Amino acid sequence: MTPFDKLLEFLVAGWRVDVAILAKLGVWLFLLLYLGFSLVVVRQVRLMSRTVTGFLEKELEVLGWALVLLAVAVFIFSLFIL
Amino acid sequence: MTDIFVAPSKPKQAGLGSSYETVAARWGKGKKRGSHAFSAFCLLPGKVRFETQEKHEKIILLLRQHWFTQLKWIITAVIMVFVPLILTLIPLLDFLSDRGQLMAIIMWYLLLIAFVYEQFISWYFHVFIITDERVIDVNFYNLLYKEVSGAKIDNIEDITYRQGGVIRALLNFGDVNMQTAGEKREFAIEDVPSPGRVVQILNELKLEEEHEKIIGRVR
Repeated sequence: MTPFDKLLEFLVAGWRVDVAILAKLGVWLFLLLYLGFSLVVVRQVRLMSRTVTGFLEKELEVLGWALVLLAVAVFIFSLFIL
Repeated sequence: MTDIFVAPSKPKQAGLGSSYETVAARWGKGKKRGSHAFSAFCLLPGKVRFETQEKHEKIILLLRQHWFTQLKWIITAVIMVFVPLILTLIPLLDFLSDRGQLMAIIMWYLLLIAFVYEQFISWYFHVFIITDERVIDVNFYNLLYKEVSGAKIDNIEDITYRQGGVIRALLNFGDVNMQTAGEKREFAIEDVPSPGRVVQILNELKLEEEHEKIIGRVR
């Protein structure tokens, strides 16, 4: 058994934690990280646009914010659906 | 008093004191200028500005990598779009509940959107700018790492371009390499369209710099 399998077995048997709860926590962690990533993308697009301004800066920033909104929406959706 | 003799006017030769047509003026006359937002070869892009641009510095050429170099991630993204359809044939996620499967598919498409967006902005903001004074390479290796390098046209000694292979020859893209006298000895512009035209413009800019030195209009 790998160390991760041992940890899972300990959590499930020792603390009686349901695997489903662990999976939900994993999904929520992923979605929170994704939200953080989308905020970093918005900031970096703004920095990049300051370096070179040209054609699509506003559109890319709008897309960045749309990604942030999508991440928030999916996170809220997951709270209800899971 | 009337003139006794009027010498016929000789055609003016290019040289000291005569009017000199700049590269920007020459390429701007009657040629297709500027381009659309996704263009990889933009001659005289009027709307573009960059961070360290000086007040009177004019951008002659804006280059990006040829679209063919981006094909790998585009094809990957297209395949990723259709991967969830495989689940209808091969029940890989059957151990999850219906809601769990829905969440898994949503997460897959979130990853896909992030991948496509990151790859696109990495290509879009990786530009080579040729101004009437300098050559600048703006490179975003990823979202968090930026490199801006430049070379003065004055310092460029040799310019060569390389276009090897069937695809590059057919689609007319290649690398332009410059030897400079500055701190950075070699300067490369990779996978750009029409490298021959790029070299032509650089050579003309070099001549313009030499002319400016002669007439004492060095910036």
